[in-house]
Amino acid sequence: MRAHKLHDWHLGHCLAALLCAMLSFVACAQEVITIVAADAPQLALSRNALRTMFSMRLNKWPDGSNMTVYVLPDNDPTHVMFCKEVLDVFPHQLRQVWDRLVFSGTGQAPREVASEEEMLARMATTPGAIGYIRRKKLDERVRGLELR
Amino acid sequence: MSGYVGSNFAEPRRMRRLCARIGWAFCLAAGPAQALEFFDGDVQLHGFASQAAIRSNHNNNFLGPSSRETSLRFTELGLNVAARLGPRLNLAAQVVSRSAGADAHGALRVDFALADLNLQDTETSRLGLRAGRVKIPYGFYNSTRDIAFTRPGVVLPQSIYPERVRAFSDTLDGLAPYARLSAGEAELLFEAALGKPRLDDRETTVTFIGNGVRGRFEGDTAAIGRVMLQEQRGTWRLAYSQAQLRGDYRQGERDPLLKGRVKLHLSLLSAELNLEPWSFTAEHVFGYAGNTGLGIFRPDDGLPFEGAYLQGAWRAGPRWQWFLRYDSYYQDRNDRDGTWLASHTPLPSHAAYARDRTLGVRFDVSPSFMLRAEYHRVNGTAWLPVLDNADSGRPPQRDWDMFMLLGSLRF
Repeated sequence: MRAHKLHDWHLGHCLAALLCAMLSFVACAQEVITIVAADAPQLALSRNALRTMFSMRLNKWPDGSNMTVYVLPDNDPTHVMFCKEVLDVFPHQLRQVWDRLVFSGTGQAPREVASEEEMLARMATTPGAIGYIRRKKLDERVRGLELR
Repeated sequence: MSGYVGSNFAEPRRMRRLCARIGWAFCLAAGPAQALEFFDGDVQLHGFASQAAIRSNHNNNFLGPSSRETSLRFTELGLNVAARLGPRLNLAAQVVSRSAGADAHGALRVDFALADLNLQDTETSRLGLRAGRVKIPYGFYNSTRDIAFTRPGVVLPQSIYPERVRAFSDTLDGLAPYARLSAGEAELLFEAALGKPRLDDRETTVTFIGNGVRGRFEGDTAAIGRVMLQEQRGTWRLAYSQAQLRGDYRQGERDPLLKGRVKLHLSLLSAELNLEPWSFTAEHVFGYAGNTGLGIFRPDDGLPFEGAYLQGAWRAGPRWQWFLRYDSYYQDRNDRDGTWLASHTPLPSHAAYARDRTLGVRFDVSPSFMLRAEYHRVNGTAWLPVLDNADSGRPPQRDWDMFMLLGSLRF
């Protein structure tokens, strides 16, 4: 009887853990958001435009000012999530695109930051910066960009 | 570079070793995949370093004396800087030291050095002009052919990107306009390059004229254009490249040849399909290589060549990638089996073609360091470098095997 109870208890825990994992996965799917500085002009971007920007094939904002793209390292979970959920590309595809630009002299790679804290700091201090972050890390220095 | 061959070997070797040490040390010091950034990121410094080990059999040497010993004579080192000077102007330059068998001995050269003026840059269109020394935009891989991380193997498919005439397709000094048009998820990219090609390596001269040649080539004019249509997420891309390159022959001392010209015409179709974890790439070239005005010892001649490859790759996980490739090349598409070649020249019939079946694997140790291993089963010798096989005294055989290893760092 006791053994049976223990079994139920384990099963309950497993189910709860599974449910949590599923919920967190769903939450993750919407968790990463594209950001710009808080004082940047209001702008609704399409997913296509965003992809062109992060592929470094568009380096200017509509007003003609410089755009500066920031990314996290290739194997950072937030970067992987951003690539898959927001851009709908694989991180290794983006790296290929950047390598082709850099090593043929036809473009620059995005600037790489080590952490989301550094991402936030750079957004606030670099004019025309664009990056991404987990939604829960948003603060008053940056503004989230919803896609149209 | 040509001056090094057959003259003073000691100096370039010392230089090569020095460059290798500096390059590796620099890359190791730089640590992870991150570029070095200055002036708040407006200036970026990137680099790469690759070393291969090649072993083959049956007297068939590829990039060094690989049939007699494990050849380590395939080393690529490079450092590049890109600077953003304003919303419209960018500068970029790259120096490369490349050792590749008997031809390239690691001398430092400027791979590209250009100013990029951007005239228009919006969500739907882009237009600009690059000037200086630019890479030739040919096919999917030519403009980054020395960077192992961007290649689909230890070496590129030799039918389309041969080591033998690489100078013809490497860089040129001139102008390079570019444009992008975007509509929905489709992008149309256009790049062209016009100017004077760098045409000074020994292997290219020997391939066109023959071993023992006393003079050298000098680039005359080159015009290359590439149109690429691609799906923005990279699911597929299609490209068409067209190139016309001309060079002048400059006589050497007591040269039996006259001042003449060589030319190369190429039409290349490229296609890629990415269905993760699978990806398929194919390219097909039709070309013509010829010479005129070299005199009676080298009568006017031309060959219509053809090459194609199909590669299927499978990403087995975030770090592993396997591929299979079939690559074929015919130096004269009217004489695919080499019958005419064997009956009219001292060369064997298998010098007219090369069919290469390759199995390869790539392992990413970290985002900045990768390893590759490759096995080639080759039938024919058409793309074997002439200089690597000139001194052995034993002719290359028709059927041969090659095993290659490569380690590559980039930051």
